[in-house]
Amino acid sequence: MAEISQNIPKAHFAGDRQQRGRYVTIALSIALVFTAINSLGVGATGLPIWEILARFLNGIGLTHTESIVLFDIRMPRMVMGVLVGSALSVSGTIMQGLFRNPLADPGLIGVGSGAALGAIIAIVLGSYLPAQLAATFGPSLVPFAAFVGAWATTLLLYRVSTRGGRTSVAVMLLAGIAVGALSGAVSGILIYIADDSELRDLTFWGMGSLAGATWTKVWVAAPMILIALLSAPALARALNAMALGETSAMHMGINVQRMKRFAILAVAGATGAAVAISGGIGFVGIVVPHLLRISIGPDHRYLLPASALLGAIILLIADMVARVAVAPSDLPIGIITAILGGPFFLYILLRNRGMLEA
Amino acid sequence: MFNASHLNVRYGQRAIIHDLSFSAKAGELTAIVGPNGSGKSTLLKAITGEIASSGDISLDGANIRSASPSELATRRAVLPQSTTIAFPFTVMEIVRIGVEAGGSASPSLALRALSRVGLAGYEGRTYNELSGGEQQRCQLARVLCQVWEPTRDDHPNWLLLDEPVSALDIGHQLEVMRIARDYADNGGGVIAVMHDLNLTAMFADSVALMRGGEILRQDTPQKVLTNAYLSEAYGCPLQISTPPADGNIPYILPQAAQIHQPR
Repeated sequence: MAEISQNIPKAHFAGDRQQRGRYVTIALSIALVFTAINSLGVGATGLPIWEILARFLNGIGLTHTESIVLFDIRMPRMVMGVLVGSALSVSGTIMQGLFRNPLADPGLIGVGSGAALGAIIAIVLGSYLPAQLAATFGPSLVPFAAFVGAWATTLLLYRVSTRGGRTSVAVMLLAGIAVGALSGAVSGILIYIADDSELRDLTFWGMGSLAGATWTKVWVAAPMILIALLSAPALARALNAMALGETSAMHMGINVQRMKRFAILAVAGATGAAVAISGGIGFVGIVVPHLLRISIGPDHRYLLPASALLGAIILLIADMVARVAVAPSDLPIGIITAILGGPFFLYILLRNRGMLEA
Repeated sequence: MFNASHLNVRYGQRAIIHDLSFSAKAGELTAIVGPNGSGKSTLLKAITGEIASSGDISLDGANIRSASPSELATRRAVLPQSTTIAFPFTVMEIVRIGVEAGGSASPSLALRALSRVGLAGYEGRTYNELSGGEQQRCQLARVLCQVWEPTRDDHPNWLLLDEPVSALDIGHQLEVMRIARDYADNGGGVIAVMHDLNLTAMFADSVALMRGGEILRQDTPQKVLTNAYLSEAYGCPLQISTPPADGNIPYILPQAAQIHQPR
């Protein structure tokens, strides 16, 4: 086999979309850099990006207020958008590969329902916490509770669906529906007893926003998300093999159980952290992998990095719209992703039905 | 040498395979035959490690239960009865996944495997749009890529095939059986679950005839594919002839009480 591989030129073969995968990844990287720089110039206070650049080039610098707007408001918000967007998309891609189902998203392993329950408990019952404890957490109480809720639910589901060292994906899916219904009911009770301002907080949390971005939030969420993003390439070959079924993957040399545990924990960490700092931003995790599969095919070695890039780009664009649409106030970003993403996704589906039907 | 001894497989309370012993030699094509539900596929799944079983299973003297999936994958490849694919992979991508799971497959090896199974020119087609027989051959190409060389460092590699010709037309049945035969003739080991007794008689070196979770007899086709054994296993009358001109290969036909005569 070795001597064969040495003799062949790196030519393009029919049915081999690796070259396309590489080009699309490079194009998306360039697009992400442009979008990120551009997003630093968008906001309620003006200060467009060309003015910032002109000031630096002419050696004038920024005023104190302007530098606060740029470095303490817009920049952490941009970084958070990149982190959250790539975390949601990569998690969606991993879940779809693991469950062998193009409709899967991180919600299937209980991350969404667990995080929502945690957040709701914190919002509604937070006022009953001892004053000292409440002061310690401060505004990070809701993100913290959401993250704990996401992890606790995922671990519970993982335990329920694992027997004799084997995790059943089907059992996990069904148990996820049961746990989701249960946490929905508990959330319902809490919503029932919540007062008006708590209800407003709940509603806004559910629609997601990057408005509260701070460097603290970025530093807290970044490790969980970066671990998942950086380890995702290690899952690519295993996810490709999983497309042929669990047993075939095993026969091809994949340690299926280890891979499942790794994937579930990585997704729970990344999505849990993303949801905790930005609330419930829907749609990105399910749409991004589909768009990319149509263009570069389902090979996870290219799909995973491309998902991270496109997810970040889409979230940054949606957030720019959220900032200026009803300025000076901020629209919840979940509304934007759904309003822009919904019709676009329908259009893509109608045009490419053949590519999606498996 | 693939060896299973005192093998037991249970589904809940029901014993599917009870205290079975089976062996297959490298350089030979070993066929597992028997009626529906006799435990053929279960035996194959047990020796691939796909389902839980008790008893000893060894590959060239080494216990396969203590081998890692990646170690095993370099020594034996498994062709399932049928495979559905979750995403729109192309034929080329499917064939390369087989080897890329553990290492890296060269495109030219994938092309050779595809032309070996008669799918040259299909590289760019989407797997899910192929016919059942084409999908089966595409999977065979993937499996061949995984253990392309029949022997490696003086150790045989193994092909384990679950009904490899069940979805194929008569021409491709012959072609696939020739591929398996060549693999064995070049020193590799082949174990195939078979339904077609005539192809088994033509290509196998050893036949394990199963019934009710047990092996009735394992020996050469001439000794196993006899009226006595086959009618005991299948419970139906058969007509078996062995024209000496064909090297004593038995031909097996079902014996119907009434043969339909076209008007």
